[in-house]
Amino acid sequence: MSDTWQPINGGRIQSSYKEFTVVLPANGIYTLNNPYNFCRCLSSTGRFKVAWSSNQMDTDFEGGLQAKFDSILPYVQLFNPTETPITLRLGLGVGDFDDSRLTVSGTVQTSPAQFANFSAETITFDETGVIEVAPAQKVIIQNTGSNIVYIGGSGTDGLQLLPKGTFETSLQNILTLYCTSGSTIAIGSFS
Amino acid sequence: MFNTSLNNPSSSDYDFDNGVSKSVNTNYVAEKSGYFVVQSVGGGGFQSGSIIIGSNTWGYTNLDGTKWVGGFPVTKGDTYKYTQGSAKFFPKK
Repeated sequence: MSDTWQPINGGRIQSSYKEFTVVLPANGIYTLNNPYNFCRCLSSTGRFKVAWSSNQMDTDFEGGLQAKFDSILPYVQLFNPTETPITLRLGLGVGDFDDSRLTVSGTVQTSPAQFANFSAETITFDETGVIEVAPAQKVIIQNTGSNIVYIGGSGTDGLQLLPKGTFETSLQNILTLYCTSGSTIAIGSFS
Repeated sequence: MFNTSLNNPSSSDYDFDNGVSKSVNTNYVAEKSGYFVVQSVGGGGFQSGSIIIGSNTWGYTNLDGTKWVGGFPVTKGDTYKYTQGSAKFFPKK
C-alpha cells in the first residue's frame, strides 16, 4: 500500500467526504482506505485507537473527536484494544467540512431562570398527621424539632428527615409530609 | 405561621394561640366549635382544593401561583376536612 502524501491545494484531489461504519472485533484491527485530511468519529460504542496511515504512533479515539491534518493521508488504521466488539462511524474527508447536523428531539432540560421570590413559614404539629407542600422552583424543608419527619409517604414509610436536617427538592408536584405530634418544620420556597 | 386573618374572625371569639394541626384528606368531627383555617404551604400554592364543612364545600382554585388561605367557622358536631395544603383548627373561646 502506498503511503503517498499529497498537498491539499495541489488540485489533484477535490473536496470530498464519506462516512464509514466499521465493526471492530475484540482486539481487532482494520484498515480503512480512503484519502482524508480530517477524520471525525461520529459515534462509537467504546474507545478505540487509531494510527494515521503509516504513523507508528497510535491515538485514543472515540465518538465526538476529530483530527485534522495539513496533508492528505491515504488510509487510517483502527484498533480495538478491548475484549468487546466496538461499532464506530467515521467520517473521512478532504477539505474543510462543517458538521451542523446535530438536532435534538424530545424534552430539553434547561436551567431555570434565577429565582425572584423567597418565602418561609413554620408549622407546628399539635397532632400527628399529614400535610401537603405545594411545588415551587425549589422547596427547602427543615426539621426544626426533635422528632423525625417523614417525607413522601402517608406514615413512617417516607424518607426520614432527622432533627436539624434539611431536605431540598425541585419536584414539580405535591409533596406529602408526615409529622408526629410535637414536630416543627420550616419550609422555604423559591419561585 | 398560620394566617388567620381571612374572613376577619375575631380573636376575641377564637383562641388563635392554641390551634391544632389537622391532616389532609381526613374527616374530623368537631368536639367543640371553632375556626378551621386551611392554607397552602411551600411553593406558590395549589392549583385547586376544597374545604368541606358539614354539607358545605368551598373550593379554592389558584391559577396565578399565589398562596392560598381560607377559613370558616365550624360548629360543634360538624364534620370537616380539607383536600390540599395544611390546616389548623382553632377552638372557640
